[in-house]
Formats: sequence, C-alpha cells, structure tokens
Amino acid sequence: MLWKHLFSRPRPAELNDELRFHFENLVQEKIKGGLSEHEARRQARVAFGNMDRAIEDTAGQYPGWWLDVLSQDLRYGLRGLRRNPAFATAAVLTLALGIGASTAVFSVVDHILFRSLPYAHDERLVSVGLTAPIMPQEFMLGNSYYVWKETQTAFEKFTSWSGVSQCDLSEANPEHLVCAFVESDFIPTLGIGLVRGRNFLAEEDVPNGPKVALISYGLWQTRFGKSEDVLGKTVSLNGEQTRIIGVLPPTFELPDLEHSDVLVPQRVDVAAQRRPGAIHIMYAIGRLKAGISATAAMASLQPQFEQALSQTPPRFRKEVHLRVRSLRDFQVHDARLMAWVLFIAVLGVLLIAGANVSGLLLARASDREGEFAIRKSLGASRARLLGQLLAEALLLSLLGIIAGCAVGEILLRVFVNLAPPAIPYIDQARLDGRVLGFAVAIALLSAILFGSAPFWSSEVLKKRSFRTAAASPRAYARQALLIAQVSLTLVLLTAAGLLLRTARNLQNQSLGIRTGQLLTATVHLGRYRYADAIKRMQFVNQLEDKLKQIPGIESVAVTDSLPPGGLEHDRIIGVIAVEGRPRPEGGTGGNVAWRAVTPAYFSTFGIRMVRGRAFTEEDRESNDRVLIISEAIAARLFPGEDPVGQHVDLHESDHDNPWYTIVGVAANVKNGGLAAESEPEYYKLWRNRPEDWNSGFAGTAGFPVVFTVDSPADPKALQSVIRSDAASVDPTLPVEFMTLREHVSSLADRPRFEAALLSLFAGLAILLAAIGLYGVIAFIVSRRTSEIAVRIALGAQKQDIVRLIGSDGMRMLGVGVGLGIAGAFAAGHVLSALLFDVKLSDPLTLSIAVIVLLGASALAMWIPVRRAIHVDPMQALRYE
Amino acid sequence: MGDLLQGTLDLLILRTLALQPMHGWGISQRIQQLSRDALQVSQGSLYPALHRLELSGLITSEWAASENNRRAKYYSITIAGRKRLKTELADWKRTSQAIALLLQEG
Repeated sequence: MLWKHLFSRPRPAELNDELRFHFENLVQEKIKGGLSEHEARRQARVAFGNMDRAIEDTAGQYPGWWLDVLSQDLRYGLRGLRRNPAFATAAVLTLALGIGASTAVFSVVDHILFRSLPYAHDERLVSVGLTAPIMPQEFMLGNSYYVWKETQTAFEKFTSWSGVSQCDLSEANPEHLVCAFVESDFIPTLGIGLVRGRNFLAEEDVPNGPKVALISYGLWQTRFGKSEDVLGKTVSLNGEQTRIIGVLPPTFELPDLEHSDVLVPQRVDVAAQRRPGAIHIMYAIGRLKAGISATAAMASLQPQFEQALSQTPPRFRKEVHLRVRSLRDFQVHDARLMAWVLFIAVLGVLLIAGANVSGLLLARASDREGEFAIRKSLGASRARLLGQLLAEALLLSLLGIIAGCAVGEILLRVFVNLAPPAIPYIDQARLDGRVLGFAVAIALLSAILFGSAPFWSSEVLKKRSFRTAAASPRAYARQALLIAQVSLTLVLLTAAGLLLRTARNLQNQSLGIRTGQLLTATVHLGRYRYADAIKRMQFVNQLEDKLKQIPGIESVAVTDSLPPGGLEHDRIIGVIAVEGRPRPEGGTGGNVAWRAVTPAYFSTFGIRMVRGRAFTEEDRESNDRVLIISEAIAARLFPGEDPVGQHVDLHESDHDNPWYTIVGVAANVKNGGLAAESEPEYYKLWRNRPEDWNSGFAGTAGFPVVFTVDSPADPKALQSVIRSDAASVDPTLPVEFMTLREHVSSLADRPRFEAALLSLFAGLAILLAAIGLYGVIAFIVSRRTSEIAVRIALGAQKQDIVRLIGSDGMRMLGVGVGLGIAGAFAAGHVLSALLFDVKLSDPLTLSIAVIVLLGASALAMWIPVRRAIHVDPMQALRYE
Repeated sequence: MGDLLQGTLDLLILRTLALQPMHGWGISQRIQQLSRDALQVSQGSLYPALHRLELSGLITSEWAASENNRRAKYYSITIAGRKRLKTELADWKRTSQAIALLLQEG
C-alpha cells in the first residue's frame, strides 16, 4: 500500500482532459458574455496561462512523478547523444578509458597497498630482526631471540617461525607437501582463528614433544573431503606419526606469502640455543602494545640489539643492523614504491579524464545555450533544467561505467598475463565488488560534478546574449584544468620514458657472456632420491657424455647456477685467507659469489681468461683442488700481484686440506641479477670426486644442475633429443628448457612490466589530453565564430585567424609544459630507486616527451583551427 | 488572484466540496461567486491542490458526465476530509478572531 503510494504516478491523458474541460468552460463562459468564438478562445488562453506548466505542476504532486521525468529526461538525453555522436563517443570513450584503467590498476595495487592482511589488528604486527649484507631480509638467531622475547617491553606478544621445508605425507598415496615451522604462540600472536580444532600447546613445541600438526583449509578440502573426524587423525609426516589437531582458515597465509600445506611446531631446543655457537635462524614477529609505534619499539630494543651485536663475530658488527617494520612492508617491500607510482599515475589519468568530460560537457552546453534559453522562457524551472543536465550526465556515466568495466576487465587480464610472478598478490587481483564500487563512485561523482557544471555557468541561466569571448571565471577554471592536464601528461610521459629506458638498458647492458645459440636444460635432483653425492656425480657425468655425442652440439657446460641469475652461492670475502699472509681481520669485506662448473663453462659462455688458463679435463681427475677467480676479486686479494699459482683457503670446514691453487683469472661477468651491482666471483671445478658434489645440494630448495649446450640447431628440435637422453639416464626427472636469451630476458620481466604499465598510462594521458585540448579550442572557436567572421569580413588573413585562435592554446600549452618539466624532475626523484643507468633528468627522455606532447597537441588543435579559418562570414553573421 | 496561502486554498476546496461533489471548473466558479469575485483561483494552483488533497485521501474523484454532457472529473469529500475540514475551520476561526482582536487593539 505504502509502496504503491510512493510510486503512484499521474496519468497524463487524464490530466490533459481535466484541464481541457476547465479551459472549454472558460471559453463557453466568454462566448455567453457576447464574444466571438475566436476572440473568446484568445482571451481564455490569456486568462488560463501556460497549460503545460499547469499540467506539470499538477503532475508534480505525485510522489512517483520523478520516475516519469527521469525517463523523459533519459529519452531526451539519449536522443541528444544520438544526434551528436562525436560528442557522445568522445565523452563515453574518455570515461571508459579513465574508469577502465583506474579499476584495473586499483585491482592490482589494492592488494599491495590497502588490503588488510588476514590477521587480527594487522596494523599492530611488525617484523623484527637483524639485517646483514648476506641476508637482506631481517632474521634472528636462536641465541638472541629467546633473550629478546623475555626482556622486550614494546610488544604485547612476540613470536617466531623458522621458514618452510618440503615434507612428505605418506599415507595411502604419498604426496609432496610444504611444511612451515612455527612457535607454539604463532597462531594467537597473529590473531588467526582456526576453523576446527585447537592451537599448539607449549609442551608440543619442545624437542621431543608429541607430534602434532595444523593443516591448511585447502588440504582439508582436497585430501580429507572436509570431514569432521580429521581432528585426532594420525598421518605419517616425513615418516613420523603425526596427529592432526586443527584446520587453518581458508584465508591463512604465511607472513612471507610462501605457500604452505601443514603447520608444525618448530620444536627449537631453547636450552641449546642459549649456549654459544648455536645458530638456529628464525623470523620474529611482534604484536605492538597499543599506542606504541614501530619506531618506538625499535628504540626500545636497542639494548637487546647491542647485546646481540657483542656476541657476533667482530667482522660482522659494522654491517649488521636492527630492523622493525610493519608486516605489510615486509611482504611487499620493493613492490610498494611501484604500486604507489601506479596509483598516482592512475589518479592523474582519472583527473585528466574528469577534466575532459567536463570540458566536453561545457563545450556542448555552449552549443545548447539557445535551447536552454528557450526552455527557460517557455517556463522550465531551474530544478527541471538542472535535473535534465544531471540525467544526461548520468546517462553518459552509465554508458561510461559499462564500457569502463569491459575495458577494466580486459586491461586486468592483460596485466595479469604480462605480470612476472614476483608481483605480490597478482594472481588474486580480480575486478571485485569493492573495486567496481570504486569505479561507480568515480563515475557518479564525475557525473554530478561535471554534469552540472554547465548549469552553474551563468550564461545558461541568463537570457540569451550576444556571443562574446568574455573571459569569465569559468573560462579561467577551464584553462587551469587544461594546463594541469598538459603538465600531468608530460610527467607521465617522462616517467614512462625513464622506465622504458631502464628496461632497455637492463637488457642491453654488457653481461660479460655471450647469449647467442645457447640452450639451457635444468634438472632438480631430489633430496631423497639423490641423497648420495656419488649418485649426483654419476647422473651428471652420464648425461654430460650423452649430450656431447649429439651431432651439432659444439660444447656442453654444466653448472649449478646461471649468470647473470642472482641465484649464485654467496659468501663473505673476509673469511678467505691467502697462503703466507695472516687471515684478514676487520669487516666482512663484502660478498663474493661463487659457482661450481665443468671445464667447458668458460668456452661455452665465451668468458675470456685474463691470466692463466681455464679448467681442463685433466683437472677433473686430479688430486689438486684448482680455482679460477674473477678480475674483481683478483684486484681485491692480489693488488699488483699475479694471482696465478697462489694458494687460498676458502674457509670450508668440510675438507682436510683447505688449500686451493689459483690457475686462472677470468674476465668479470654480470651476476646477482640485472639491476644489482655485480659481485666479485670465483669458480670451483666439479671434479670426479664425491667430495666435490656435496655443497649446495642440501638446503631447503637445493641448487639445480644446469646443462648449457652450444649449438646452431633449432632449440625446439634439440629439446626433444636432450629430453630423451635425460630420460634414458633417469626417466623420473623432469627437464626444464630455456634459451639463455630467454633467461636473460626473463630477468628484465618486472622492469619491462612496470615500463609497459606506465607507458599505457602515458599513452592514455596523451590521448585524453589531446581530446581535452581539442575540446577547449573547439569551444573557443564556437564562442568566437561571429568575431572571426567580422575579422574575416574586414580582411583578416588566414594566419591572423590561426594566431588569434592558436595563441590561446599555445599559451596554455607553454605554461603546461613548463610546469610539467618541473613535475618531471620531481617524479624522477621518486622513481630513482626503480631506474637503472638513466639520469633522473635525462635530457633525451624529457625532450622526446615534450616533442610527442607538442605533436599530439598540434594535431588536436589543428582541427578546430581549420574550422575557424574556413568560417564563412556571411553565414556566421546571419546565424547570429 | 491574491496569493492564497496553500492551507487556505485547501480549506476553501474542502468547504466547497462539503456542499456537493463538483469538478475543478465548478469549484473555481463557486469560490469566485461566494467571495463575490474577491477570490479568484487560478488553475495553476487549483489542480495541483486538488491532486495533492486526493493523494492524501481527503477527497476522491470519479469521471462522470457534466451538466452539458461532457466528461468531467468530479471530486467529492471523504470522511477524513470532513474531519480535517472541521479542525481546520476551528483553527481558522481561532486565528481570524485573534487577528481581528490584534487589529482592533492596534
């Protein structure tokens, strides 16, 4: 009843009948008074007044009246848009691009910047630990962690975990899983609610405590079919009978976002950790007390830090630092800056799009001034005019939202496909409700803001006036908007240019190796299957021999890591001793990378020997341990001396005879990734002795074995031959193939992705800026048509008209470019951490950006200016 | 017409309809007659008021043939309308007496 009342609407035909009846009675009365019918009607019309207005006012009494008005306005608006397809297309396109791009990017950065972590009060969780050059992510050692846990004052709770490791679930059908090792109070400190069961007890987190485990929601679903009796069930985990005591929530994630299936107590022997020399590596997480900041917590931990420092070997002391930072920063560390850059870029694009639509609506309003003036004099109320403007803007933004969602979905798919795996949460990014809400909010806001703009433009509401080029405050606002657009576009263009050059420089830099026609085949020797060093050696030797016999393969090199990779072994230089000299004291001396290779490594990768010789096949059978060092480390250890023939001790604990003989010095090779500063490097030879096949294969992930073959043959054809050879040695090992070129290129994926995203925005920005410029100049031309006509009639030449119209545009462009250059310098500073081998104020990039912008602007301005030149004075003046 | 207050026009309409059902034209004529041409109701305010009163349930309407056999919309007062008229009339009398007193004093 009430509902019906709310939407009750007038019936226009009845209203019309009713009022017409009244009118006819009026006429009849006047005829009775002795007037002719014609005169009676005339007088009745005067007396009656505006019948349409009366009908509308009456209809306005009905609560549901606005529905009719809205549909009428929408129909009218749609007709208007259809009559003016250029305007409609430009406006909808602008909105669609703005909304689409912002929605897609918001979907990506939302997770990085704004999404709350799946922990209770995640803003109070911090990661606490020490950093050292060799471990840039904060960590703690068992001996100090337990002291800190007892003595700290800044945290409500303080907990730790010890990373993940592969573990085997052997029940009916065995499965490889990932286990994470956590302290018993890990779950309550992070504030994670279990779906089923209970958390670990303190007595389960001791060396020989009862074996219990929490399983992930995914494992519960797939392995146990979400059955309730999973609690208390005993499974065999790495051969040990383990009882399942609970199920983690579906949202659970480890603080470093690593995947895990099972959580088990880390079972650290606390007493043993208190003895010197115990170095269990763990990661600490603290929950700040209310009102204490991360900085304050860091200050309060200073005494504990000093104490821990005094226990570390002296050479490390200068390079170890304390770090306390929010868990979010810990997770997204280097993605954060890029995410903010993208977010700001998207806001810039949105601003430009908004200004554009506003400019377009304004220009359209100037076209329709006459129409509005007529409507007003026919009795349309201000509210009705405003309502109609808003309905039209709403229509535009609805179309924009629909098109924008499509654009956003497409862009997001493109992003996800382009994105390298290192971008945190990218696989979770999708257009969800909140993101869509964001887009709709933007569209509606811009509709209300910019849709009603013509209404506030005073000319519309006054009676129709002679068109002049009067500089109203609104015109200044419009020009300011355009200047902002131009300068923002220049900043975006420059930023994109800098990132593009970074990606190019990264890929084109001199790596110190050749990459042509090299194909790599990688195998991971399993920890259990190849637990024995002899088995590893035999596998590698057998496959190497087979590969050498493939026709067309010129050489075969085997290593445990690839340059410029970043996955080399790392050590500190300070521990290396040279025979005949005292072992160095002092600092760590920085890091040195090393890798194990076969003799063909240097010739295959084209690494030049600066002094001495490369490894030979004879070295593989020798008792002597030989070493090749890079020029950089040679300069550090043997300044002004010949390193060849010298003996060094690499401080490896597992050998009786610690001495290596240096046989050669190799040219420097890029290592540690593309962007990072290269480290000095040394090469060890894999001899045919089991002792050489121990290091590096242990550890959590384990180093792979990489076979690199040099062959002009087609890599695809070569792959199948190599694959069948590998299968003949061990059919169970999967082989991954990649050309060295692809490998190098994949390292530049992320910078290329960032450059591509920003270029997309810059392209969008320049397109929008061009549309905006076009809109404003076209607006000026239409406002000044009569003035131009008078000038032409009085003999003005084409160039005078171009100057007249163009000067406005050029002035705005000039100011915009000036501001943009200043902005570009500022942007360069923000971006500096993301750049490689490019100056912040790279003149080339900046000038190309300016030229592109000016070119696009000139094109955008040319169309309306040409129209101005071709104004026909007779026609234009008669129109007025 | 002199600017009638909205409440006053409602009161006049209800008063007119309390005598007999009538169409809009008739109401305006009747008001004009009874006030001896002092009050003229323009259709621009009469019809919005009629529809407003109908929506609030104080009057109802039906289409019927008029005196000269044309289709016209006849309004009649409802029970709720009569109640409202009574209270409004009482209010009106109180107010006009008060105003009259004030003006005499002045």
